[in-house]
Amino acid sequence: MVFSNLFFIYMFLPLSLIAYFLAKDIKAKNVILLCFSLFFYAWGEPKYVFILIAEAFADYVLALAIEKNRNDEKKAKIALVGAVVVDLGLLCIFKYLTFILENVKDITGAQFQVMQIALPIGISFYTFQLLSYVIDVYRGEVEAQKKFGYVLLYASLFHQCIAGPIVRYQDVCREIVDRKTDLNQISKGISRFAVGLGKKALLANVCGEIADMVLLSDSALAVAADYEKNLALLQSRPALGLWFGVLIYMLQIYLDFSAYSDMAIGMGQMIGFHYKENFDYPYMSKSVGEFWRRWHMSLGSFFRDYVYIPLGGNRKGMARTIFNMFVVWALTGLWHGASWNFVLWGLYFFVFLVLERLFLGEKLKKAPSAVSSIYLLVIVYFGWILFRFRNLSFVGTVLKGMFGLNANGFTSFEISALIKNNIFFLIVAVIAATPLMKYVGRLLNSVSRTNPYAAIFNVTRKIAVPVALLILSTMSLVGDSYNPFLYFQF
Amino acid sequence: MKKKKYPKQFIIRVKKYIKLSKSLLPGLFFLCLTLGMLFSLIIPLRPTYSDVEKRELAKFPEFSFTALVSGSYFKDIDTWFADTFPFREGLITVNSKLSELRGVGDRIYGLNDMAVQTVPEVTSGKEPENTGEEETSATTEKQTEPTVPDQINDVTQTLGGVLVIGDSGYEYCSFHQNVADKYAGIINKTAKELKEISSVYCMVVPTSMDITISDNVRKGINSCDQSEVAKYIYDSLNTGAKTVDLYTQLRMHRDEYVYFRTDHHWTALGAYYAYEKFCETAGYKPITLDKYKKVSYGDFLGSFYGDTNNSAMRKNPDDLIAYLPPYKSSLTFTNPEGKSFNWDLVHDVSNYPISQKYNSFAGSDNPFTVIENLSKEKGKTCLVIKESFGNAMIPFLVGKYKKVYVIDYRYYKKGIIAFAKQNKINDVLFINNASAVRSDTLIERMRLIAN
Repeated sequence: MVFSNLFFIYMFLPLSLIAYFLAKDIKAKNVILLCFSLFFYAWGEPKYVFILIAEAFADYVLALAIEKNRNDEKKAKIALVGAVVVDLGLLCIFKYLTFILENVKDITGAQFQVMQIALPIGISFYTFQLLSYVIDVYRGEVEAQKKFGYVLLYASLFHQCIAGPIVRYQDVCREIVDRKTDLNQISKGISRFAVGLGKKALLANVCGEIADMVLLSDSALAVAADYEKNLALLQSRPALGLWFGVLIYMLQIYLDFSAYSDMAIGMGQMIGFHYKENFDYPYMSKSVGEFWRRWHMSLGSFFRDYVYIPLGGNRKGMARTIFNMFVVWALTGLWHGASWNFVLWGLYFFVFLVLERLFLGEKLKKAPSAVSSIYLLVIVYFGWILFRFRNLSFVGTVLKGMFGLNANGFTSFEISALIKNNIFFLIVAVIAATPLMKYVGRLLNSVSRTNPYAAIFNVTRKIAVPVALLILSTMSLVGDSYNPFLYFQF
Repeated sequence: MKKKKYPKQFIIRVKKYIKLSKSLLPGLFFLCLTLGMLFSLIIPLRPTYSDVEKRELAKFPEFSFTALVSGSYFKDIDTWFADTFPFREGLITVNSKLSELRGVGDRIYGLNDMAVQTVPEVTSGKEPENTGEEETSATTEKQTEPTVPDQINDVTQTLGGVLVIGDSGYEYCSFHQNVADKYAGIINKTAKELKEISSVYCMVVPTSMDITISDNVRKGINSCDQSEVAKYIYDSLNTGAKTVDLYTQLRMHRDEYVYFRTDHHWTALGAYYAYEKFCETAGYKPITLDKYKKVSYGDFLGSFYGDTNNSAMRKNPDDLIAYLPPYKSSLTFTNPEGKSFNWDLVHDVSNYPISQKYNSFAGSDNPFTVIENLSKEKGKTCLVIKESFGNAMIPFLVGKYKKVYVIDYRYYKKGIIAFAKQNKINDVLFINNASAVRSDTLIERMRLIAN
């Protein structure tokens, strides 16, 4: 199940909220939340829900073992290694084994059948959550949880289990056991959820349709038999079409993913959870370093805290720092998918991050902000091409086509029509990727303090906008076939 | 700035409203969710069929343990839930109206059928008898029924890229040489096998894209030139099949109502002109149109509308005009289940759903249809091999024959050559539109029954 699914919005969500708010004490509320979460996960993965439970149980036991052996460094370490092996082992088997075997086959030329293993939904997210829990316990930053139910709830909570944010146990350990909410919080949560839903259903899905039209859909590209046909289609796309298509895809991937985080944060807020922000208008950044501090922040901080810093961070000299960065960015790329293009995508950013660390960063600080903004946007823009196509020859084709090197012309009747068809939409989508509306909201808030008419307007908007977004999103989801969350594959 | 004074009473009311508003959003939001949930549970509110999309909507899945374990059971419930949501059509209509606010101009739906391959010349050095396949001994002796895979769903024509200019839709056309060769091969083979028995005619029907759009606009559009497609196919025919130049004929009448605007088919009028051209080619004297009684069966919103939900089309639907023949006929069709029905050659579809009006002609798409001209004592026989484009032309053809057999190659499962031999058919007509002769699934199916 995904959040932008009518069954979720008009069955799962109301039922879970009604049950939750009818439950009289926090214990009952937690039991309800856990049941709904497991049901939510099982709805999408009836078999793999047991992997989630087993992994949570293993980490629960090992964290307790660490806690017990606080004074025995060796035993604690063994437990920690055990947890890392279990978590990363499962992740490797389900996410990377097929990829590894295919590469082994290609390199050695050995003849064997590579089994196709289906990726359990959300395994990349909940594995990292559980991993952070055990490591934090080992580091003594948080106490081990005595009750399995809470660990399982933490790992399986439907808000964030399948597509993030990667919530740290230490950030929610108190709220898991007990939490409070009030009308104000509920309202805020609803607004946040509705904004996310609107972003997904009204903007990201439309971006997805357009991007698939121009750049071909993932499922079409995955058909090996259609390789020639797909290549011919991409070669024939006029340059302007490709520039437009990649721009739309750049918007889609932000709107889609941040929408999911918005909905997760919003639903958490409705019932008293406070998850950290996951996106901070990343396209407004002025350097690659800043971009990665504002894009999928929970993943960036995970790699910082559990890989980069333990490796020595920037404290062991420049050469070691660069090596550490290399490891982090190769892993970040690989986390996004078991395919070389993702690794290259991660390393692509690594190159710019090193350059920024060496000299570019200083220059960017001094440069006019328009220059550094454009610098960042151009890098990210081209990065998404690498991200989009698993087959690198498509990347090459698109890049060549963007500069008219496929004898594909600058534009065509169809591309011009397509852009005109979506010109207002494009403006709205761009605005949605900037903090403009946030500033307008703040302005309205401050004006309403002194002007009662503005106050009436402001209060009314705060009610009307979320409800309108819900209704509009519902309409766009009825009979709509295009609806996957992009970050599901990770 | 000077602070304005507002009446005290007013301020109190505003404060009250602000206080009230705190519970207003949660209340309204949960009301929406709960109402949505309740409505969605009222099963009779759920539609089961979409007139606009001409399809059965998703059904609630049947429970099975394997489906449960594999996850498909839940996935199917999701699909059913969203696909049959109460007030579906209304919500979709409003949504598509809103989605037109995304921009301006002529609308493009789908880019994957833009012309990629240019149409080559047929080289003269080509094999003299290109039948597009290897000869096997099985075809010469007693005809066995070919085994045709039973996947009706795959062969119904799906629209590729659609362009909407104002209130008119146009389908993009592309060229695939291997499919065109295969199609020409089928006709070559048929003409060769039936040399002593029948005259074989090939009619590649252009779609509206190349006929009714003004040349100025058409110039920029990347749809392949259908006159070249027809020429390529016609030039590949080398076993005596006769060709009918419908492109030129329809271009001559391009300012008339020869194609629907909201559907990819031609109108009965367009089909009449094609009939006229066929008669000219075959040396028959066509029955003039004024002998037919022109009737209107009301508003029609066809496949272009179904694909795009375009509001300009909805505002200005097509008019389904039919021409009632001056001759009497009896029509019997056999449906895919093998049952036979008597039907009208031109059926009054006034009461049909607005999207189904093209079904007026010749009993619509059935595997096999026989029509007898009752106003004729004796006369020639004709076999039409067609997809839905042929339907509109059949009522006119009946006037020239004693018997017309119609085979829809997408559903028919026996051999067409054997059929023509057995029934000593005089004229075999392939009536196929430009969009069908580029589809490998369709033409492959035709090849299987032309064996």
